[in-house]
Amino acid sequence: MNKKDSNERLVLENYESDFFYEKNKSNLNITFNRIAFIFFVFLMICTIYSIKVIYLGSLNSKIKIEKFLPVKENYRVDILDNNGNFIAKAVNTQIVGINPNLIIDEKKLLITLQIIFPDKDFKEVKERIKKKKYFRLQSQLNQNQVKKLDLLGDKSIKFEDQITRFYPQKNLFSHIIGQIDDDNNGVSGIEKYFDYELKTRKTPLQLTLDTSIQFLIREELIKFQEIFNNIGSAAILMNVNNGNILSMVSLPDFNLNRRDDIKDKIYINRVTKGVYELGSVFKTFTIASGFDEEVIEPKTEFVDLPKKIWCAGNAIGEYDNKIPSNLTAEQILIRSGNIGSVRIAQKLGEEKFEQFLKKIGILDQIKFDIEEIGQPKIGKWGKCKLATVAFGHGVSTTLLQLAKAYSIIVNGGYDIKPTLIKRNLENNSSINRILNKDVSKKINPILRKVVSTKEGTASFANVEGYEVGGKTGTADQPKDGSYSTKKINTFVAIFPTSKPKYTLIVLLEDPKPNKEYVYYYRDGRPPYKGNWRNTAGWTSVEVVAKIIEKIGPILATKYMEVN
Amino acid sequence: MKRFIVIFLIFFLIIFTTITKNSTEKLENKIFTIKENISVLEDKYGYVLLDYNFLTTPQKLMEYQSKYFENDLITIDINEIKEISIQKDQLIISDFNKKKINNE
Repeated sequence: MNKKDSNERLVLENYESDFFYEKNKSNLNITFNRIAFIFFVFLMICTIYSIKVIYLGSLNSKIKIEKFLPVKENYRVDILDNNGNFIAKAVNTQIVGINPNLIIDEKKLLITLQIIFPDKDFKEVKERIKKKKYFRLQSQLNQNQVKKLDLLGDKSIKFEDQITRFYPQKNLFSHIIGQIDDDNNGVSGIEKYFDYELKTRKTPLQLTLDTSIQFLIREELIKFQEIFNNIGSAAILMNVNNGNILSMVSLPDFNLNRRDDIKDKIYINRVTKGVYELGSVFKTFTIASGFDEEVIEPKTEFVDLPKKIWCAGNAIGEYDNKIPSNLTAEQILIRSGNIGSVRIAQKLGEEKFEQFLKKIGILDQIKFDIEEIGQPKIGKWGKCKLATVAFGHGVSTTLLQLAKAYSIIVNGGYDIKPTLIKRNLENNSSINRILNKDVSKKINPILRKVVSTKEGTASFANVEGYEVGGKTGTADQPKDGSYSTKKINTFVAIFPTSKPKYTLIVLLEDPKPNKEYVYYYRDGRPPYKGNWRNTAGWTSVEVVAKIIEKIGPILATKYMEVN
Repeated sequence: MKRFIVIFLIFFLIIFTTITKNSTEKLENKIFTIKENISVLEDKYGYVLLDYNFLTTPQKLMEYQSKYFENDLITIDINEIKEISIQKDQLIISDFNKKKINNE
């Protein structure tokens, strides 16, 4: 019993002792673990948050530097051409406004204002005064007007500072530069696309455009617009190796200094916004695609080509029935054969041909330095679509994209990005080859033959000393699901073809034959009066030849060495 | 002695800083004035250049040509352009266009 008691006591003591000891130990552990756990969770949250902050910081750092530069009030840098001449110059002027609530003698004020602004409609001014709300009376005040208004000492007259753009070249760059509104915001062209940059950068924005070349091209287009009576015309001159655009003209144009609100569609930018079916100029893509995929060679023969084929009930024929039935691939391009082009496209297949057109940037909307950009149209691919696209029908694109595509084909197959902004030569130089290197070697001599041989369609463009090559395109324009008699005549010129430097494209919208115009052949044949066909060969080609004669010496002496 | 050196050093630094700051302020004022003058001159230069650009626009030049130099200013034929180079102390005149084509 005693033993049992003692045992029980011992157990009890041990138990009590263990119990207190273990309870204490356990309490300590629980407290420590809880703090450690909370600390660990807190640390994890902090770590995750820090990683996220660092990641976001690194992601947005570039944007922050570029995007959040302070925009200065009434500040806008000038725009210069390639040679440092002003295209757009910011001039500080003033706007005068009237606060009707502060007018003491309305009649007296109106009489004096009428003397200062004799051309103003003061009936409208009277009505605005009646509304008792502040309004702007006149913007772009000259110094004399400011002085006179100041001398009036009328409290109701308020002045506001304003930036006014002066465009010394007037119409010359109207479609490219665009305009700004009274609040210094760009509303079109480069003024809109580079609005933020123009308000924040310290140095003027320099473009790749050359004023002299732009002027000469525009003059020729205007001259021939009177000869061929076309409703509009366009031209683009691009360096094939870096995409720098030296000239971009679209007619009719408008005087930027007048600040008119241009809404008439006739003033559309025909180079970047106008989307056209361009016809036979697409045959170059068909042949180049064949070379790229190694489906054909320049001497590959196509025999027994029919004069007419049918697709979904529509006839596809040759524009000239004298075209022989047996042609090589080279001859198909030189003689601009429709059926031969269809045969080459059929050899390629829809997928490869579509891929090629996408690769050279014909089918997708182009990213460019102005917002006025057209959307190419092609519709659904099929056997008939393949056939028509092969000779440039059933597909519409912009002249800018056409220039880009031709540049890639002739420059050795290097991708280029057309640009109006002058950057370092290194940044603009082409590095990414997207076509087989032999494509240019094969296609350039053929393009030369289109101009230099009698069979070619562009012999008027064979200007001596420039090795001009190219391809013509005459296309009826689609209207209400069919084709109208209105034509788009295009000529894409490449020169010099032995080592292409420039592509020059001229487009004439709805030209008419002129029976009084005298053509001077460049191969010694006697002159010919009146054009017997309303094709690109008799219209656009002649314009290109005259342009190259004028701008050629400038390009040769000014740009050949530099580039 | 040590204390004297420290006090002297502090005193010297204060004087030195004052003199430097004073002369820097003068320099800053000069720089500011020069910068202002430059910006005025730049403005003037900009307007002069604008005048020059306006008076020498291709349009104006063509007007002058038709008025005063109708027969003197003509388009150059690329085949008539010559290139002058110096090789071994000798002036060499070559046809610009032929040279370019041969180099292709």
